[in-house]
Amino acid sequence: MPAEVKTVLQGRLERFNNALQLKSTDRVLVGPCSDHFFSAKLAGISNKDAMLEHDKRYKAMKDVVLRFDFDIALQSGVYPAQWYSILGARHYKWPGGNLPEDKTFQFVEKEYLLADEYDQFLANPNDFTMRVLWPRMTEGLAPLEQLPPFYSIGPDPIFLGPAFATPENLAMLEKLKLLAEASVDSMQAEGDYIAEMEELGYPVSYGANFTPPFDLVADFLRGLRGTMVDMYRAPDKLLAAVDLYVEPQIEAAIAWAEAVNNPRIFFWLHKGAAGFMSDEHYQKFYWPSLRQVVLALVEGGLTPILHVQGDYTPRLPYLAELPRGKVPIHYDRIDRQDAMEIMGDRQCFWGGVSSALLSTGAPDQVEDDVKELIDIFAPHGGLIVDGSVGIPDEARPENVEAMVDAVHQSIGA
Amino acid sequence: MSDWESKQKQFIKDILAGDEEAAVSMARTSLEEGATPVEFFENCIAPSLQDVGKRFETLDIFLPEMVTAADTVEKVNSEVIKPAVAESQAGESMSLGKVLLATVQGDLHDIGKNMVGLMLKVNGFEVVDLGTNVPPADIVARAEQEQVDIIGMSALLTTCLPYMKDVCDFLEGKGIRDKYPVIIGGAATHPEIAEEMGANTHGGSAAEGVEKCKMLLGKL
Repeated sequence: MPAEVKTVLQGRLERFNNALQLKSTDRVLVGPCSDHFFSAKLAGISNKDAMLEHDKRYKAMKDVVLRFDFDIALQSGVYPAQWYSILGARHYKWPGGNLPEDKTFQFVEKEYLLADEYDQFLANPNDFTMRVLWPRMTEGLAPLEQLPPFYSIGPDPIFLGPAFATPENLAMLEKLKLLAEASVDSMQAEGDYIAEMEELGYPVSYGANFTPPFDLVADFLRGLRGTMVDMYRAPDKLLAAVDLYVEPQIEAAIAWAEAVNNPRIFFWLHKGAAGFMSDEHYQKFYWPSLRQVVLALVEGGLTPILHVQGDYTPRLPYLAELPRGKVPIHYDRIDRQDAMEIMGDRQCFWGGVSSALLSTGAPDQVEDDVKELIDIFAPHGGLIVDGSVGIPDEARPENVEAMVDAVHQSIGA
Repeated sequence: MSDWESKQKQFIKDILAGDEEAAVSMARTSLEEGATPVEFFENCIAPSLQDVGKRFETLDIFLPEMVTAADTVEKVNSEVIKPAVAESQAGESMSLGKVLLATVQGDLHDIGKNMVGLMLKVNGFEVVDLGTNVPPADIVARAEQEQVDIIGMSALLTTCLPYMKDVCDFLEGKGIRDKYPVIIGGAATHPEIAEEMGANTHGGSAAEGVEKCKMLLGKL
């Protein structure tokens, strides 16, 4: 990398890190955390192709960063379609798979773990995940259901051969091979994109991304309704399931951050927002496991970034407990004055420009909204302007331009 | 405090705590003491559920409490009230009306729709929930099959709004538009869109959706 590019990259990275850590910066930043299909749409690529053809998607993302002159390169929020199609995923629907080409991918939430299966799951999560959950979630892994528990094959591994010696299992192993190969391809494409963006002087927003322990259980195991009922009918089991994911998540996050050489780890929080549960329940079911993961990562020198989806205003006092300047918060909907009062001198404010405004508003409305954000948060430092969940797919390009312009105008002001 | 009032107070406590045993036992005892199933429903279940709905609207309680209460009442209805009604052949309807709910084609988001469904149930409506990603033709066919009173559609994705309009157009084309009032809701919608696509009304929240359904059926 030429020295002058290195200087530009280091300058941008330092400014980004300073903002994330609530240190003073020479100016306000503007940068989306991630992208679903906005870039693809702008490049005239269908959602289907964006999920299938990684090079095209990353090229579109690069073009968007350069066109709008963001301070950072956005990360892809889209998983490759191959991951779903090879496994015959039942728990997702995706464009070009089982949705029309122009739709976004979506998760099929249901009770993959039934209420009366908690004990079985908690007694042996490995076995349950492999032989019950995965066959329910995917067609391709259905043969796992027919396999005996591994320990029952005996301690001698040579008998794995006979255990897998059926046409169904051989087909499944072939699918797993294809899945791994598809992952190598997509990870290579992501690595190339990050390297290219760095060569252009742009640090990427984050490396690893996770779903907090409570949301893992509520999304993937019990579903919203099941989880809500469990808070009353099986609170201890629900908590035990949530806690089960804490340590593995800490280990996985550290390993992933090391593998991609990026300390910034993005967390997508969704079912702890206002309206979902009382403060008492948040304190009991949601917060402790998340707090444990976040503190362990901070302790490990990493930067967990919490994207708080929905209205998180009532939860601000919890976020304020976290070590100052170590856990940037990416906001969706929030009372800005409350956020300033409670979090202004605690953590970086990232996001905050509503998806609805970016998608349906007028440029002058966007500009006014960004100016308000700047007026409130800029004096304390640690402000990164972005859409409330990154740039929405339907955002009007002129509104994204207005968002960036408003930030740039404030620099000159 | 009348007998019904004190029962109602206890019933609310039981359903909010998800105490199926206590709630079912109260219903059984009341019927053994001479109340008809319809009386128990009208004097205890319906007002209790309305109270739960109001508490949810004012954020005095949250989703876990409302889901648990609705779940517990479902148990009381299936174990005590419905069998007793069938036995007495009372035949009296305990429903304000039947509402079909669906998240339209291309959209799998159902938290909002499910909340509306719950609120409708706790307010005495019967709900036929078709789930998510439902094609317009299926919505119309099931409305006919189930003889519903209202069609309710939800969408979070703006790209799925045309499917809502398709339902209104299908109804029009089949000459049955007047038979089915249509209400739409969800993050992708607003009142102007409802008017543009030819829906009867729009619900901006679960609580407003219930009020609008009552209004559509002249129950307000």
